[in-house]
Amino acid sequence: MAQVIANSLAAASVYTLVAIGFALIYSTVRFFNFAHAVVYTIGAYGAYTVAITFSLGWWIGLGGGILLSSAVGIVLEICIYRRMRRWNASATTLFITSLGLLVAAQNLLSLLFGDQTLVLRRKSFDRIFDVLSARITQSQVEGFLLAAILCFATWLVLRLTVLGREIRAIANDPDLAQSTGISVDKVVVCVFAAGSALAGLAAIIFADQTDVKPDIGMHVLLMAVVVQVISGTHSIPGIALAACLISFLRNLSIWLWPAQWGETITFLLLIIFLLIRPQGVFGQRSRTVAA
Amino acid sequence: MDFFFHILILVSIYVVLSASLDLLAGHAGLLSVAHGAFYGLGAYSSALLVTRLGAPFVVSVLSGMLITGFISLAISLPALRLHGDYFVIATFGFQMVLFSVLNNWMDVTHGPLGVSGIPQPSIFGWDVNSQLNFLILAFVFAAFAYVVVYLLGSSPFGRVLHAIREDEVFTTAYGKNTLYFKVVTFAVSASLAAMAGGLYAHYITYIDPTSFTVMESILIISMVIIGGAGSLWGPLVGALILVMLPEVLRFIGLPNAAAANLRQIIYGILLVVMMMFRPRGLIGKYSFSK
Repeated sequence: MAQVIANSLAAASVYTLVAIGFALIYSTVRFFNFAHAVVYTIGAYGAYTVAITFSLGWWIGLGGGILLSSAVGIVLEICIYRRMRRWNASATTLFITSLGLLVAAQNLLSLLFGDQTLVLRRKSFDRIFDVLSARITQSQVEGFLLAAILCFATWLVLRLTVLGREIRAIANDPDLAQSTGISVDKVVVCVFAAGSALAGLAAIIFADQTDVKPDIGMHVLLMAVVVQVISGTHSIPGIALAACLISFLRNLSIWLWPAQWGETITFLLLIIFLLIRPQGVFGQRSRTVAA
Repeated sequence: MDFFFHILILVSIYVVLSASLDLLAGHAGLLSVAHGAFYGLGAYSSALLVTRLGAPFVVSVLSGMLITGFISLAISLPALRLHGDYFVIATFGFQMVLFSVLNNWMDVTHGPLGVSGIPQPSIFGWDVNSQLNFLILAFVFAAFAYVVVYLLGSSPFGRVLHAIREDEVFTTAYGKNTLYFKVVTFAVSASLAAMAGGLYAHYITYIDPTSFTVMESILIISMVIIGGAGSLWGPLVGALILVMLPEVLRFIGLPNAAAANLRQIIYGILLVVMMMFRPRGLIGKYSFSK
């Protein structure tokens, strides 16, 4: 049981990072940006290139990967999504565009790096702590701490700074925010930059515990989507709690039943929430109204 | 000649898939990311029925369609009650789950090893044993799917779907039970995809989970969108272009592995370019502009 909790917390910290970026982007531009999955993967490959190919070490790789993810997010927003919003593209159109970007970029990665698994570990030997019958690796602990600090920092930015207030204003009502003089375009670029950077960081943390392949983004994207639906909010504590809940139930199910049902349990949670509480645990507004 | 037939058979299978997705996405305005999953569900159910229970071809394909139609209700009933966005999310979730189950449920699906030794179809004494015979069969399947989608699309049922696509609240105000129409359309579309799956399994005689990933779903979406959603010939044009693309790439001398990636890069970019500059597709009518 202690093992289940430890694994859940380690995974939940990564899901939270990805889900925060995904939910912030959704709340400001109102479409599901599936290209977030590949922005995540690009973070890991960027770090791999800097840390291993150029052998500059893990920490510089971490910085390089985060910067690369962030840059890709900014480019997608400025070159593609913003132009499409100019002529009032619908959420579905933007969503399909993000699918196209996902396919193209993921295959570009497998063309450049191959489909085989790459190893991006900070240390070749991972120390193991025994806490209350649970075996916890050092990379899990450090990953968790790093993620927790970044989540807290993002929360502070959203709560305390002018930018954070503007993001929340746009999430509430973009037109009203614009009419009060907020430059929506500038704020959205910041959201893409920050959200994508968090995704890149999450990928590198996860890569330290597992490995890197071109398709690692899809599973994490699914978790981010489910976290967003279940939390029903873009507030960071809400997202973090929902991520812990899902990740706990998932790990519990893997502990009780064969591992292949983990994904199914996650999906069942999604369906149950869509049926009985579509606004999520912390959400208030009803989503049942069409358009 | 066999190679030429092979391409036409693949085109026919993808025409079934793109036409059935067009019924859902083009006519009813509901975009699904789970079409690859239903395709896989059909392929696996008919393959397992044939190899484990020795069911004849027609029975196995029909049961695959029925099973898939029923399973589609598990997604459509909860998800279609909500705002359109959440339908996409639920289909994406289902797609991920189905792949994971196919890939991990060793006892039934053999996981990554796949199901092999699927026999050639035999329909009431007609052995489909050559490429030409199979092309005839695949053509009949494609024509059937096209006729179903065309008849449904141009019937009073289809007019209600178009009304839902344009304005759902308005359609409800006219006394139509929109949930019923959407759920039925979803089930029909899913079972047609399962039909394509059954055909594919019997044609290739070996299936494994990698043919039914989310990338396959996006490929089918691309066919509908590049060809043009909501039009009669759009899905056919899209399927034709995207099935030919890798063969053209091979023709200009690219190695197979690179060609597979390059093909997906090209259709991903095509999808983005289409959405940016011509969201109606090449000959389509509907542009997801709501």
